[in-house]
Order: sequence, then structure tokens, then C-alpha cells
Amino acid sequence: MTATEPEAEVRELTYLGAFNEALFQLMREDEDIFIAGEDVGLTGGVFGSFAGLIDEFGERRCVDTPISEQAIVGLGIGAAVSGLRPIVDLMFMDFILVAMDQIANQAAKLKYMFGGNATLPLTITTNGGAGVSAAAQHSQSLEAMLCHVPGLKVVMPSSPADLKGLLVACVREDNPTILVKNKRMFGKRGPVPEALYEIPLGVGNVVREGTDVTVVAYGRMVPESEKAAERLAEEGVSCEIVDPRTVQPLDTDLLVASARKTNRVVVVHEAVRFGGLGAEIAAQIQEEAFDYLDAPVARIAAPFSPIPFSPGLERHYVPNAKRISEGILETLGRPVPGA
Amino acid sequence: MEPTVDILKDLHYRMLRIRLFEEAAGRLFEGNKMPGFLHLYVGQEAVAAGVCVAMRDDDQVSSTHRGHGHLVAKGGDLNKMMAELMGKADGYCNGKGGSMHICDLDLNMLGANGIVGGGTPIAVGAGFANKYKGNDTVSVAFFGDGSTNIGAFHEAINMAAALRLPVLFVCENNEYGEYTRRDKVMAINDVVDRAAGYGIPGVIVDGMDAVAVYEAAVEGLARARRGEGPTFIEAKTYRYYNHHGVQTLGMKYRTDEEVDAWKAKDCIEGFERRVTEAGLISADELAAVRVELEAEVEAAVEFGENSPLPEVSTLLTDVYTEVSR
Amino acid sequence: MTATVGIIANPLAGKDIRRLVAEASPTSDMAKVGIVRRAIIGAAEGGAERVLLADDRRGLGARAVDGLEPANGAEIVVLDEPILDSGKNSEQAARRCRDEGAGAVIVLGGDGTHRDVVKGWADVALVALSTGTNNVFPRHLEATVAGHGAGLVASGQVALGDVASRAKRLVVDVEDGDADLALVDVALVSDTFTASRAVWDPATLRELVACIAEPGTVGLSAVAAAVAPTGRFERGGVHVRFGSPSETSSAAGIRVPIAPGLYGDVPVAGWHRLRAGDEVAVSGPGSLSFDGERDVALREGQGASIRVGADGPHVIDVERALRLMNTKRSDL
Repeated sequence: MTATEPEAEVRELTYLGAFNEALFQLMREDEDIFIAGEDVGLTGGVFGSFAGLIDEFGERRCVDTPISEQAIVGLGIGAAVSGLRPIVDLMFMDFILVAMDQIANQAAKLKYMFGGNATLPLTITTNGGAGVSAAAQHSQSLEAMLCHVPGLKVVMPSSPADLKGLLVACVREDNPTILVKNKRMFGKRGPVPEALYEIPLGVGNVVREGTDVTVVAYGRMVPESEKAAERLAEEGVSCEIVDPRTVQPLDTDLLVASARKTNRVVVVHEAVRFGGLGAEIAAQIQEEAFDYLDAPVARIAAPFSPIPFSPGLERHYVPNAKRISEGILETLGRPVPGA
Repeated sequence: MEPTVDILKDLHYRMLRIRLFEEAAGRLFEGNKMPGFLHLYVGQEAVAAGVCVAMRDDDQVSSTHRGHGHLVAKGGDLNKMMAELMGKADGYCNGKGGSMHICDLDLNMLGANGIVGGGTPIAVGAGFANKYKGNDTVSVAFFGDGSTNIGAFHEAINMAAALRLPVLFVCENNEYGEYTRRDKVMAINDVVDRAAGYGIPGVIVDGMDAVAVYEAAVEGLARARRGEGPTFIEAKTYRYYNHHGVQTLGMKYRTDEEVDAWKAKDCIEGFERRVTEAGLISADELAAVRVELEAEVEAAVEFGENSPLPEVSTLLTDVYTEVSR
Repeated sequence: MTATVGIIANPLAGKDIRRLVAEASPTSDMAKVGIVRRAIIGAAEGGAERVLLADDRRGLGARAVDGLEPANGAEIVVLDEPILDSGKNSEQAARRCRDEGAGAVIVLGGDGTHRDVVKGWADVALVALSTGTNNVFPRHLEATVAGHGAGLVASGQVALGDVASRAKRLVVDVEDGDADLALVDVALVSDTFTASRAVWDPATLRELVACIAEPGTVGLSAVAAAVAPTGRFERGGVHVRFGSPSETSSAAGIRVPIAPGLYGDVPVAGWHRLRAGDEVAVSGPGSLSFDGERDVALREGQGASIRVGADGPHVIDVERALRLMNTKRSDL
């Protein structure tokens, strides 16, 4: 938790509940904020993210759009340059690919191409992550593609409290941001301050302090890494878990500081390993902390295949606490049970 | 609606301002004084002028890779335009955008666009903002015949129609997508036939006749202001120069006869002939406007040439807005 | 002589500004292609051995024959004329049909298209089919049977004289300009520019000469019909003068549909009937509209004269042709 959070009443909320509460509070605060996307109005979002908003804010501010991802993002861009503060929703992260021209060629570059003469307070919200048998087109983690485009900011919250604070920061940000919720965390509960608060973009969080190894994880891989750390603690391994929270811009300083402290780093993400963010993080750590490292930076990620449908296959695809602990033990040069 | 003499003068002024600016840009390009791509608007001036004269200053425009004409017609500063085309520090985008990204948000010109079809969804977003704010401002999407084959265009116009947004869609059908004739890549002959599929009215106008374009734009803008939703105008027009650069004749993809036939319908010559014959504007006055604009363009060229290249220190600025609210 | 039917379709008909300023419906290319195909099938069925089809800048003709194999092995020829701008293209196609010996020409379009055809071939025998906006001269008729009627005439199974009537036309001479004609009406309007061509604002009307002034029409013909109805096959015409209500207090406001779905109060200042040959002189500034479309701009003081001629095209009455054919058959 950062210093920007005021002291306020803290309750248990679900991940989605925190998202939803933030939207209510933001929209009450600022008349320029509206939401637009597929089923976000009357239905309140297919996952319930936008539940109840239309009842308070009406159709004008809760806009059901056609299934037209390019036009949805374009709507957000045009409205943002016209002075509004749009939140546009793409139902699944996979669908950003449909809208990639508007995201990467338009939104990301507008300010630069115009010599600074544009402000784009646009927030794109979406849902990523595997593990719900949604198969290859509704499960992907494509953050590496987004982080590769200068001009975008990309956020992958790992808890209800972070989700709320980061969403507030995204909406108040004068740059295009993409906030990726994780589908398997929708019902996850956690303490969330009731008041409106902001977690600044680009500032990571040490989720668990430790001394033997740094585990860099974001999104749902944070709670999975926490599970792994609990188990390993019983074996006397002390894991430090660092969650960058924002993957673009990346809080490199925090990651490097932890690497220098523990001398070993394991990066965990749901996205495929090849060309994933783990490669970037590993590269940055070796650039900044090469002399501190006692082992190569390890990456625990999905294999290089589309995401399978069957639970029997999918559970072998997504990294879990077991695979994370095995990876940590390997990095520590300790025997891996069953290996 | 019969245009007043003041409106006729304005149409002529804006058409000629585009023509002279573009011709000068073409000469600089040929003289290797202009880097990158150059998509000249020459031939199509009646469309930008006709629509922009019918617009209010607060109405927005989204444009295309062939976008200089729209900014000039919106009242763009020729000095800043010429400097931008040359990649200079005093350009509209400080040399970071160039021809394909030229814009002036203060004039509500939301930018040229290097992606065919990329600007139309943005115009729809601006239209949404206008409706949201409850003003009666209208956004105008200029696009070519080619962009109507792109998914983003269909998505955007359908959304505008479904949400009844105040947007005027202006198709500049110049019969070619880059170097391919339109009828090879489209099974309909009039782009406007698509309008019915979106449930909005569409009309064809002679895009070489600024008054015809103006008349239709007045009606389309009025519909949007009344809250009746989008309108589709197809202006039949032609670009004299190549898709890119300044070559006109001797091309494989179109005949010289065809180019000459369109030039015979030139929007500025025809207009000048008509208004002088009708005694509405004197030949002397038209000539004086030309002299004034030639001087403005000449000064713009000089301004651009004298402007320095951008400081290297600006390379990494403006990627993000540094301080958010 | 090969029984030949010509088909001339205006690709631009049904797409002008009246879809914005009035409630006119669009006519898509697909709709027109379907009409042409049905007309070809009908013509072949009616006895045409050869169908001439004008092509146009938009390739409507070429697309209309795509894969079509009409009955009786009738040959379909897409005319290889150079493709001109819309109006000139129809005019040229009409001349070509005449030179090729067409016994009947099916015209698809509005009043303007029919005018273009008659400009190319003055005494053409035509079947007038409406696909335009304000349609006074052509009538709504299913293309299949229209084609059939044309086939019967072209093949000589029914005699032209038995099934056609001669239409009127308005002959227009513009000072320092070309001779011109209209089939329904000629108006002087105040617009200096022909621009988007259509006439829809009653306030711009100055003078009107109509040779068809039938109630039940839309446009300027309806204006004339309101004061002096004149049928298409009656002799003569009508001349109407307009004044703005403010300057002519005696002007009678007449409410008529000036365009599809658009009613306007038309300030009629006076009118009189015209006999064949009576000349009406008008002068600029303004524009002359022909059959509802601004086409010729007049300078200040530039004059034009308009008279009703009895020598318009032969208009084939398709129903009469079909009835006659049926009668012949029952005689057998």
C-alpha cells in the first residue's frame, strides 16, 4: 500500500467489486467520464464489471456499443481529444488485436505525431488471463505487445485494492492507459479502502519481503507466487515478491534493488515465454545488477502454443504455485522434489 | 441554398489557397527540399472548400493521408504547414508528424492520418463528445473511396448511425486507391450505395463543383445539428498528381486522356469563369486574391526554409503527457 | 432486319441531393442492375433477337449482362462507345441505338435520363421506366413486362402506330447557346449556379413552362397542374409566373409536393395556357432547369425562348401492346 492512500474504512471487496466501486466514485466525481463498450450498459458488462452504473448514470454515460472494437477505441480517442475522459471496454484482452490500429497507430502516437499538441485521457479496460477454459481466443495475456508501443501505459493489478487504486490513476491519467483485469481473480476478495484513492502508475510494490530470491510477478501470478512462497517458507526458503503493478512504465528501480538484495531473480508471467515481458525484465536486471547475480534470471511462463481449451490441458499450460516453486528451487540450486 | 457572394468569395479563396500551397509543396518535393511522402490534394479542392465553408469554426474535421487541403480549408497557418512538411522545428508538429500527421487542434482539425480509414473512428468519437456535451457542434470525417473498404470505416459509420451521432461523412471518391482503379476493388459503382446499408441518407455531388459540395454539406450539417444523425456525401472528384509525389502523366494505371478530361472540369477554373460571367466577382478581384495568396505561399516557403531542424533534445519529448491532472 | 431493342440506364439516377432536402429514396446500383436484367429477359421473351446495352462509367451495363442467357438465344451487345459523363453517355447511346436500327429503346431513369435519350434521338420509340426521383415522364412499371412490350414492338408483332403515342417536348433556344429540350418542364430559377442540380426551393422559382401538368405528379409539373392541368397527350402547355409573396401581394400560395415527401408553398403570380408553337421568352440572371434539374446558367440579360412542340418521342404503351398481342393470340 502506498502513501497516497488515505486512512479510511477498509472492507473486504471482490476484485470486480473494487473495480465497480471505483467506477461509481469516479463517475460521481467527474461528469466528463463515461463508459462505452459491448454490453456495458443495460447488462452491466458480461462479467458484471459495470453493474448498476446505468441505473445511476443513465444511457448517456453508459453506452452500449456495437461489437466493433476499432470503433470503440476510436470513439474513446475522438472523445478524449474533444475534452472528455472516456473509459472504453474491450470484453477480452484478445480483442485488442482487433482494435490494434486504433490502439497502437492512433492512440499511442497521436500526441507525439502532433508535436505534443494533443492530450489523450483515454482508459481502455479489458480482461485477460487463462484458466477458465475460454480457449485460444479468449484467454491470452498480450501485455508484451502493448508494452512494446511507446505512448501507452499498461496496468495489470494483482489484488482488489490495487485494482481500485490503479483504475483511478488510469482514469485520471492524461495518457492512453490499458488496464487488464484477470478473469480468474474476479471473485477474489481482499481489503479495499472505501474512499477514492489512487495508486500511481509506474510504482511497483513489494508484496512479500524475503532474502533468498526475488520473484517478479504481476496480475494473477502474484497470488500464485505468494502460495509458492508460503510452501517454500516451510522449507526455509525466503522469497521476496515484487509486483511492478504497471508493466509500462516498469518500475525497474524497484526490481533492480530487490535483485541486488537477494542476488537471484525469477520472473513469472502467464504470457508465453518467448518474447514475453520476462525477457525484458531479465535483460534490464542483468544490465543494472549483473555483478550481483548468483544465477541466471529465470523465467516461468506459458509454453509456446495457443491456449488449449480442455481443463486437462490448460492446467498444464498456465504457470501455477507448483511450477513457480520448482523454478525458484532450480534458481537456488536446490533439489526439486519429483524432478 | 443559393450561396451569397461572400460565400462564393470564401469558396474561391479556400480552393485557391489549397491549390497554390500544394503546387508550391510539390515544387519543393521535386527539388528534394521535402522529405518523406507527399500526397497532394490538387484537383480535389472543391470538396474541402465546399464542406469547410459550410462548417462552423467549432465543427471538427478528421482527415486522411491526403490531408493538407483539409487543414488549409480549415484556416491552417501556411507557415507552420510548410515548415512541418519540411520537417522543421516551427512546423505544426515541431517536425514530428510531417505531411501525414499535420493537424491543428485549435482549429478543430483533428489530424491527417497515415492509416487509411484510421481517422473515421476518431471523427465519430468527436461526434460522440459533441452529443455528450449537448452542444450542436458537428464532426466531419473526410475519407477516400479506398477507405470504405476497410473494417474500421464500417465499424465507425455503423456506430455513428446506431447512436445517431452528429457526424457528416464526406467521401472524396477520386477513383483510385493508390494505383488501383476503384472499380477493380469494389463491386458497387457509387460508394454512396453503402449509406443505405447503414440506414443513413447518402447523396452524390459533383466534387469538382464547390457550390454543389457546399449545398449538400449545408444540408448534411443541418441534419446533424438537428439531431437527425449522420449523412453520407459522395463527392466525385479526381487527383491530378500521383498517389504520392508530383508525376501526373505517363502512368500505367490511368491514361493521360483521363487526366486531361478531369482537368477540363477543373474546380477553380470553372468557378472563376462562372462567377465572372455572372458578374458576381470581378476578374480583377479574383486576380488580386491570387496575388495575395501567392505572396502568402511564397512567405510560407521562406518561413519553412528558414526554420531550423528540430533540436535533438526534443527526440524523446511528447511521447507522454508528463503531468496528468 | 434483326429485331433490336436498346436499353439505356442512367447509373446516377436516384442519388442526388433530394435524398437530403426531401424524403426521396436512394436507388442502388444493385437495384438498377436487377431492373436491366429483367428488362433484357422480358425483351427476349417478347421477340427481340438482339439487345443493345449502353455501358457507362460505372459498368452497370456490363454487370447487368453477366452470366445472363435470355430465351430465344437473343444476342446481347454491350455498346463499345467511349464512356462519357452521365447525360452525354445516354445521349450518345441513343444515337447509337438509332444507327443500329433499334425498333424500341427501354429507358431507365428519371425525367432527366429520358430527356438525354431524346436529345440523342428525337423520334425514338421508347418504353419509359422510372428509376429516378421526380418521375413525371416515365411511369412505374415492372421491367420484365416493359421489356416484353419493347420486344413486341421491335419484332413487329405489334405495330408501333397501334401502341405508341407521340409525346410533346419543350424546345428551348438559349441566346448564344445550344438548342435544348425538355420533356416535362423548363423553369427559370434564381440560382446562379447549377451546382447540385435539383430544384427544391419554391422561393427560387421565377418562371415555369410545362408541357405535362398532371395532378398526381411530384415536382414542377405538379405546380403547373395546380393552376392549369394539362395531360401528357393533350395539346399545348402552361406558362406560370412566380413572385415572392412579399413583393407580389396578389401572389397565390399553392401548396404542392415540390419533391418526394417535400411540400412547399409556391407563390404563383400568374399563368396562362400555351398553344403549340407559342413562345415564352425568359432572361437571366439565373439558371434554366430542364425537367427539374438546373442545367444551364443564364447571365444577366441573357435570353432564352421556350415553346411547346408536338414532335416528341414515341412513347410505347406497354399494356396496350400486351393486350393487342393477347387479342391476336385469341384470334388464332
